[in-house]
Amino acid sequence: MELTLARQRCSSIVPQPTLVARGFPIRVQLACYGGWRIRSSGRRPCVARCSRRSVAGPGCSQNRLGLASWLTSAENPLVTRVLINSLWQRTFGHGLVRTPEDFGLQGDQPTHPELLDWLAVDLRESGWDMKRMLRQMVTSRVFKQESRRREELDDPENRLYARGPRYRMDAEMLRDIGLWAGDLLDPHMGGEGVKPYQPDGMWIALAHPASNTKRYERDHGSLLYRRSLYVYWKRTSPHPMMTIFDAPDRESSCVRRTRTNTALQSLALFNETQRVEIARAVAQKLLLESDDDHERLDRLYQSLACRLPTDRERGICLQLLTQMRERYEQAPGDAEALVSAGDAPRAESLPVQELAAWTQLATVVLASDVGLMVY
Amino acid sequence: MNHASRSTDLLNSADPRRALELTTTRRQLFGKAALGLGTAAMAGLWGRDLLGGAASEPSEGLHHAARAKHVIYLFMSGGPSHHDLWDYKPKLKEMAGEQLPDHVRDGQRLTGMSANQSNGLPLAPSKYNFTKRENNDRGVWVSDLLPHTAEVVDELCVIHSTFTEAINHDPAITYIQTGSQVPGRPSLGAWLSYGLGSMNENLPHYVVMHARTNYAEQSLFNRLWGTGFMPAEHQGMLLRSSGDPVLYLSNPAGVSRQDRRAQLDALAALDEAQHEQFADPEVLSRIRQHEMAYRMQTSVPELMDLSAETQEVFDLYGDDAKTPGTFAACCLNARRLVERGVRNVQIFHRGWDAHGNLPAEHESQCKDIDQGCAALIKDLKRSGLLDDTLVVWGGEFGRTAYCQGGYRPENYGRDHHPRCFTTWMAGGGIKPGITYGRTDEFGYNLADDEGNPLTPQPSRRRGLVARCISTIECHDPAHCLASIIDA
Repeated sequence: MELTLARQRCSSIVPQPTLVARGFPIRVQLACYGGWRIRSSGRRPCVARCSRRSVAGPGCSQNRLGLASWLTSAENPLVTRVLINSLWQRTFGHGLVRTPEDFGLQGDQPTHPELLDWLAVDLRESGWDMKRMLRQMVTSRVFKQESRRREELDDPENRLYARGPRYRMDAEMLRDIGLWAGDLLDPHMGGEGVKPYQPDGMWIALAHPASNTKRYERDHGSLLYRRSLYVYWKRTSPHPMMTIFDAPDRESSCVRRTRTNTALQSLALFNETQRVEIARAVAQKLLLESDDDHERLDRLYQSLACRLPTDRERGICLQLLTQMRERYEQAPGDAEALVSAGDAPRAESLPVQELAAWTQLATVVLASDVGLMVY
Repeated sequence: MNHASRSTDLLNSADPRRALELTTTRRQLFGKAALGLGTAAMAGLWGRDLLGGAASEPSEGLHHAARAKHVIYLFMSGGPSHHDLWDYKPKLKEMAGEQLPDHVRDGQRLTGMSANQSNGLPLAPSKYNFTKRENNDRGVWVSDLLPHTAEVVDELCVIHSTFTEAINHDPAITYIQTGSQVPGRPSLGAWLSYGLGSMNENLPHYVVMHARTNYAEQSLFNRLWGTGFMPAEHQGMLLRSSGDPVLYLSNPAGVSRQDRRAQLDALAALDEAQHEQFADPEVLSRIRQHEMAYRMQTSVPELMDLSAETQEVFDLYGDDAKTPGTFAACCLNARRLVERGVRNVQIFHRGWDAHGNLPAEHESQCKDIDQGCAALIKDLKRSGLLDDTLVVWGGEFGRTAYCQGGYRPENYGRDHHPRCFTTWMAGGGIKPGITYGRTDEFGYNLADDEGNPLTPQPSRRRGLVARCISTIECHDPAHCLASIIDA
């Protein structure tokens, strides 16, 4: 009795999915041509004809539950293979099957079919633990290899995985890493979408006059620095800092993004308000945490690339720094203008010319491979 | 010779970096292309030097001798009324206010907007006068709403038999821009960029402009100049009339051009150090793009600076052209873009969706566009660019012969009408001064030479370009193309 009451209380709070709530088979009426008035006779749930024989046998009902059971059964390799391939693609830049959009006979064959299967079984047997699988991949010997191309091998696409991965980050990662590097990232999870800075007039140029997404009102405060996952997504006019870096517009499914290099990306990396703000925040952090230029450069490369700068990189950076210091000493007004970009608070204790010079350097390093690539 | 041994030969060649670049380019091409590439197109595309980036001639390696090197697509979003602009139907005057005969509609489904009108489907003749203008063919009727365009009809091929299957804006405009009513496919401009590349190293391949209008509806969508499944570099670049003409073009406050030069030099040095260590050719590609961006920071402002144009040019386009964002200004920019080698230019002008109040709306719309259209044709012609430039004008569908809402001779509205509408093309090898196709006496159906209604039989062999620009009714596609293309 108590148990029944408790269960009823639960049901009233948490909506019960139909399959669980009803204990009896339901009959569905088909609305002809979608017309709500014209209904055909009742139909029973059933799986598609092509799957009917597979979704048979004990414990497999001819409905969505049965389909789900079949898809995740130990005899069915498809779901686990696709999941593994997706995770591998995210980690290594390319899947074991390089055409995830055509996963099967019509697409590429896996470069390492035994590995794919081994990982697929491993995933399932671990209880579908994706985090564990991801950890396994990034701590693997394959992943930890250096990503320098090996001239003695005729494998420019790294199908043999004789070197580590090297690919440009997705749009979202690129923004997140930048925000993180400047200590700006707000890690708060969940909640409403956010609207970072965007050039004026983008939405209104395309919108219907009655649209409720006619005007773009950007956010303020910590909302500007949330993960890009939460960026408000208007599919007919997505945020340019996403689409410029190959984020799909989400009007149709995309399981494999292109990775392009364009002039618009260059302009965005150097001129977009948040990128300038990020560079300033990174510069600020370096200046506050250390007094020594060499140490600052070390910290910069350590945070972005997990390594120290090479002598050559050090030389290039210090040369630019010297140039920028001279330049902003002569024009403090310009320095002030540069470091005022973006809403992020500025450390008033720092001399403006010094902050501007380091902002310029940070912009360059963030636009170089260490700021763009996973490698 | 198999792939592997050729690669090895190249790898052993005098310049290992060059060798690797060549090998990688080919492999990356196959790897990255979402579709298999036709070998003919590829030969033309990749004939150019990887680093030098010399412009390619459009006919290199293509199946047919190309006539047009550029396209300017003047897109009239909303569906202009062919009844009030180009397709003169005296029959409607005879039967003004009477019901559209059933046999004309022949059971065609109506939109939800007109299906249940209490006044049925009263025929609405245009309130505007039409004049027959001479051209190189049998002449063409033009309404008083387009006095300037009427002057250049001897350059135009006016196509009365355009049609589509989509009834509403989103699918219709998506269809005409991407070849499919369902979103997800690349736009026409993206295909042209992908297939033919660019002729100018300092400006984008594909430029899109939005012209001002008093009737800012229906909405437009990123996908209309988007790349679908193709790489993002083929996306149409918006040339905006306020703020930065290209997104993020201007340096932030406090950063000069010299600063940017110093930054780019440092960046190139860092990237080259990376390249020496990792031998990833993507790095070199990025360096090139940074340099292109740097050049765009001067080439785009130069493009947008109309002060070099004479007053005579503004007289031609109208004073409107001095105001950024007007259709006339967009047309002038289009000519300047084509002059500078940009292949594909699209101008979107919204506001043609006149369900009600058509006269006032279309008058405003035509005032926006008429002079600009005519000026563009004249300007291209006298600059010698018209032969190489295909200019296309049209919307996503036409408008009904019957009135939507209450009919009065001086004010009426028209609903969407996909079955027939008018578009025009000029330049780029199109025969000047002809009309193609006709509609029945109600301007409701496509018609044969005797004026009998035809059911459209879309050719299965029509190419993407034809599909995107207009769907031309023709029983014999070869005849159709022969009729409108100047051999």
